[in-house]
Amino acid sequence: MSHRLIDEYLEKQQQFSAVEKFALQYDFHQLSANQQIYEDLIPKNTPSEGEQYAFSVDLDKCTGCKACVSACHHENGLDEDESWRSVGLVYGGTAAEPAVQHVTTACHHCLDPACLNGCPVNAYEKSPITGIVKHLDDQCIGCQYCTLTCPYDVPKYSKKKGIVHKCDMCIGRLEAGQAPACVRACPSGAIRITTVKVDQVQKNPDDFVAISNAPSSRLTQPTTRYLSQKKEPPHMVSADFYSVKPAHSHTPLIFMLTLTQLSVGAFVVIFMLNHYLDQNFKNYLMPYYVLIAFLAGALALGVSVLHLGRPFYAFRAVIGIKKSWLSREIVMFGVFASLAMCYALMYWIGPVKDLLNNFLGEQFLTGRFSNILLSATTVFGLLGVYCSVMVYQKTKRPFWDHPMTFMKFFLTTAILGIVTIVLASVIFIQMVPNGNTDLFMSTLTRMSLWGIIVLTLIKLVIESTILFNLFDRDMTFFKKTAYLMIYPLRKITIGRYVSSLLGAVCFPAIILFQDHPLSRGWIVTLYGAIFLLSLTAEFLERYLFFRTVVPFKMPGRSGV
Amino acid sequence: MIKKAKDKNFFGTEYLAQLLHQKDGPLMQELALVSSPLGKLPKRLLPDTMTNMVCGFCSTGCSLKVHLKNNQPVNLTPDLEYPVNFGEACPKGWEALTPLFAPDRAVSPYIRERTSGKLTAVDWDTALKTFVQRFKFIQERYGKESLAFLSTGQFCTEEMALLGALAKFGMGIVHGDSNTRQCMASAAVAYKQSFGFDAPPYTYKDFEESDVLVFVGANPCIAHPIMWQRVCLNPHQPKILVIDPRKTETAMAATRHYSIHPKSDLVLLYGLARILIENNWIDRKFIEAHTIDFEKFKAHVMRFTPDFVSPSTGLSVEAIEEFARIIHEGQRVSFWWTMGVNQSHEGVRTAQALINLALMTGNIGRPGTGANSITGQCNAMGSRLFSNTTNLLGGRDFLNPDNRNKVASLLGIDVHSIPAQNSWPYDQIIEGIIAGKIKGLWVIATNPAHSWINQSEFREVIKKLEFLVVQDMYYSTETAQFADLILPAAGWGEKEGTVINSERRVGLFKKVSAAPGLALADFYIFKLIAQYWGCARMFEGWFSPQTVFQILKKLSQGQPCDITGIEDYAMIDRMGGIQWPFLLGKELRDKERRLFEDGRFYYPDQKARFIFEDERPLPEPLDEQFSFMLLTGRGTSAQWHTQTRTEKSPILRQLYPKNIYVEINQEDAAGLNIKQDQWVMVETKRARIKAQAMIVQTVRKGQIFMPMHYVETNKLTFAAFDSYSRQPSYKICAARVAHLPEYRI
Repeated sequence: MSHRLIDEYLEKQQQFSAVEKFALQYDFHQLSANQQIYEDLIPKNTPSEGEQYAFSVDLDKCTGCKACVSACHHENGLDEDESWRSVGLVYGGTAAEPAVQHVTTACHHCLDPACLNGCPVNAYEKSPITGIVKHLDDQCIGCQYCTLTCPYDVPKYSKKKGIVHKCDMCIGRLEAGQAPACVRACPSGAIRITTVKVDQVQKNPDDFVAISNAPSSRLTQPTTRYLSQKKEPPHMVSADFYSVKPAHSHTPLIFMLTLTQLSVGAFVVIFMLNHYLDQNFKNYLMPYYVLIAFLAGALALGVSVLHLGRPFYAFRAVIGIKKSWLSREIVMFGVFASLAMCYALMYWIGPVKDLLNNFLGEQFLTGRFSNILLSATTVFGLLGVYCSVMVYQKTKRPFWDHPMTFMKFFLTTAILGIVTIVLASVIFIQMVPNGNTDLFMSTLTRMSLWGIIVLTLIKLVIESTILFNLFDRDMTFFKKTAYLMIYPLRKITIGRYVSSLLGAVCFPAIILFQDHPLSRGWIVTLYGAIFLLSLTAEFLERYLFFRTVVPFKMPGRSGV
Repeated sequence: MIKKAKDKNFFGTEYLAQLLHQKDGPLMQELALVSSPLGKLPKRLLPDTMTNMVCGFCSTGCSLKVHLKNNQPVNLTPDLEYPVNFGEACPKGWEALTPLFAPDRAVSPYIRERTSGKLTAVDWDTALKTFVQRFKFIQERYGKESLAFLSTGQFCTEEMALLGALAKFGMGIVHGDSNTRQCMASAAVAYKQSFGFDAPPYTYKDFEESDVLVFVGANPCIAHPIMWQRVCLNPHQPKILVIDPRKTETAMAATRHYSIHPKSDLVLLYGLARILIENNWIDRKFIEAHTIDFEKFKAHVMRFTPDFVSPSTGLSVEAIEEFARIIHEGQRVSFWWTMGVNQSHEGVRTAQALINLALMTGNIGRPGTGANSITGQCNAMGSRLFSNTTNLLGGRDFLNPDNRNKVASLLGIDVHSIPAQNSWPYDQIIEGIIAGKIKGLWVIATNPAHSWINQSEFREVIKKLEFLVVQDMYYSTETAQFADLILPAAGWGEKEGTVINSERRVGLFKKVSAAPGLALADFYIFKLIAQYWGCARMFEGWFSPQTVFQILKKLSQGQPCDITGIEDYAMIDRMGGIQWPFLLGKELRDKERRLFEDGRFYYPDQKARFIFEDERPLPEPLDEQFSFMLLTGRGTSAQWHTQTRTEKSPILRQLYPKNIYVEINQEDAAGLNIKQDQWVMVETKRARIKAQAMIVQTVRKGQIFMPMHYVETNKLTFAAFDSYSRQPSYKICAARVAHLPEYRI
């Protein structure tokens, strides 16, 4: 009896009474009601010439209930943790008049969108009619550059899909005369869609996204308006203004940047040695130099592909070359790697060598063609490094948009170029039986050792200047960077300095100042240590480059 | 032809162009919107049918339109026509389906071995036999009263009634209470004493019709966003007056914010009453016709002069006088309160001070008026009437023999099976465990190991029990972790029944989703327990929630909460919820109705009472060491109580800080050299915990605020109770804040 009851209830539990009993028929009267209620929150007509759609938020009505965030997720069928709207907080005021203000925010559909400008594959479109900045999901290769360029932290990368997503102002709904999800979901009607005059945004960008601690509207000319009847309370600060957290490390990019710079640096050194070395050395050493330099570059580009969400579409990066520094970087390094490969092939593939020798004469290989190829490789490599610098400068993040980035990238190029070739030299020098070892050792190596000591010290000094910002009275971007170096990432910072000082200053100095000739074992150990420590130091420097940058963002919330 | 054209393009420029620059494709289509009767919806989630049901979080009682596809709930949108929420919902409402699919759902009964703590999944037969055997053993050994239950305001009225009847009439349990004790007991007692019945008089339309709204200890912007929506719909440009120690979101939106000293609300309200009386700003006619004891009240408040009230509350004399004048000048003044009033050592009297203001100014029974308690849980109001805990079924009295006879005859049971004594309230049940009088406890859909005031003590106390049963959706709740037996319950959306919202509206829960594994609706679990206990015959007529609803109608007949006019669930569904009272034979003309339009209250003389008392000192005074006032309350609109459900949603998790935090005034923080986001120690005489500092101006100097949703908070709170409602005074205790390194935890 009892068992039967359990089974009966378990069975009943799985039956769906409600659906059959109370299912609603699709009711077209519902649709019209839906439109009636929300139609006053969206413009009646599409924008005229010189206008575009924009979000408008009445701050006096936004109470921070965050229904807009939930609704965006549901009405757009997004991933389980995804929403294109978020709500931040600013607070302050005075003891007598404290103030708290929630700030709902989504894409600002900028006049000069940084996401669009930086995209290497033209996966963004700004509609000439509505002004809506739309992301073309199928075109996206998942490079995530837009997540770095957008000062409002709008595009969000989905690891699962390998692409970014962003708000399209529910264009599909607007076209059908319906309100976007967030607009329809706001219980107090704080969010609406309006049309703004483009020239008004251009003339007075500061009137838009005028929120404490929001990024400057001059960066991208956002179109969202935050309105309030009240006088803005004093001392308003975003709730997360003082919460300083390390940024994403973008590990593949750390390797990509460091190794491309090593490779380019190596080619620059090879280019210079090409004139300096005598034929004897060249015959022995060049193939190894070239091979190492090329392999480092190839490895860098290989690793960089890991950063892409959809690497198979990487070739699309050529189409953004007109405006995207990332596209240019990819193209430059693509050309650089191809040229480097050709150059390496000449040395290493017998038949190629023979073929060239037979057709073009022995002189050719070592002569003009070879020189042109080497020069071109070096030039494209250097252009690539320059593009790398621009990729980060264009984000306008203060720590990246600084002459320091230029100096860091090129000094890494120089230091690692020298270190790599010095290392290659001393290892292979052992194989040269009758060469002018002494001369080679005494002049080139000493020059190189001095070179890395000086360059490393310069680099360390430049990098350390940021730490002076710890004394800033205000919580500046640079102070936050310095804080991140000193506190959360202290071990990395120490590691960066120690490895650099040991590997690129102390050990070279030991070699330079020792009186007795070193044994073969010591040479290999010391030079090996110089190479490994210098390389580690540059990896760590680049790790800090990514993790201590303080991005722009809209106000968030406090805590974790 | 078409095929040919396509082939031609394969190696043609179009293909190449597409390969290089693909403007549309499967990824775009995945998010493409298509037309539906609900407007544009994602194609993937296009429903094949829909049904409306009331939300299962708070007492606002919004209706949600659940979208079903292949008999599975895939999405929802708030119901546009429901006379509560008119198409809107808070973030919890939008996310209501997500917690159903959490990985820590209890999918079978579990028995815990006490020594190893290991949980073993068992079948229902074993679980029920264990339940009955252990509990009967305890009852035989220690007496019938040694068994108690703690229930909830989160499930259906039919389930509450069945549980209450089963436990008290069938199993002989005397002591049972509900977590509604923690949120609105003070309001319930206040109404009962003042009006003669626990009857919140308002309808949400009153939010729209007032010209003055007074909010006391309420932050509807965050706690009840959809009620705030109704305030926003008010076309009369109302004056909004907020009494709250903190500058909350609602205080920000107010015309005036009165940042009083914590727990000085009673003094302020008596002070206002005095000014109104002194200036003759009162409705003499109403007072004489419909109330008693006004003169006594008048004599009582005379001592609350502005000069006395001002230093007690921290408000200026001018501010207090202006406050009174605004009330006087208002044509339709409504008074609203929530937990700031209820969760107090003198909550009943404070609520009654508000009721008194409404009565003396005639601000009751008219549109836009009333002394209105905003409730907490989705069915706290059902619990107040039908849980058979504090009140006998239908808002009756256990001590009244007529009431017992009436219920016995209505249910066709022996009147002697109805206890002739009152149940212990929550705190006394816990005292009973300490005293060794309660040996077995049955906890249903509530989480006292998180929520009970002075939680550390509670956790120690329940270890004294010989047997603890927890019936819940999740095996992971803080309380379930102590359970000897866990019974897996179906949740909101997996069962049907009715709930009653803040404005007395009976709404409908429906079954739209399959419960996981062996989980059963609480209703079925109670029926099975009746069967195994051997009292199934008593509940033969309690066949299904729908038949129990008919029983509830019978029980309500002749009571103020009469719902005999509601035919069945279909009618509730059709009418968009129905407010009580709704008598048989009446026509439902107005979807939004308020009480007392005729000025007749529920006492036999039909008059309301002025009830008052002297203010009492703070339960835990501050001292030199513990010099901060620790306030607690709701954190964000995305968090619900002990978070057993809301923490399951990745969307909601983004909307509140993951770590516990303490809001501290800027000046205090500077004095203690505490920095934003720094981990600090918060200590009371009960416990010391770690929390992240959030430095604000919105909390006054000398006060700190912590949200209640984090499990650590109630380790700190001080167990004081309102002496009439036995509601815990969560809102305030003495604390200190310090740097971490001073201590080791």
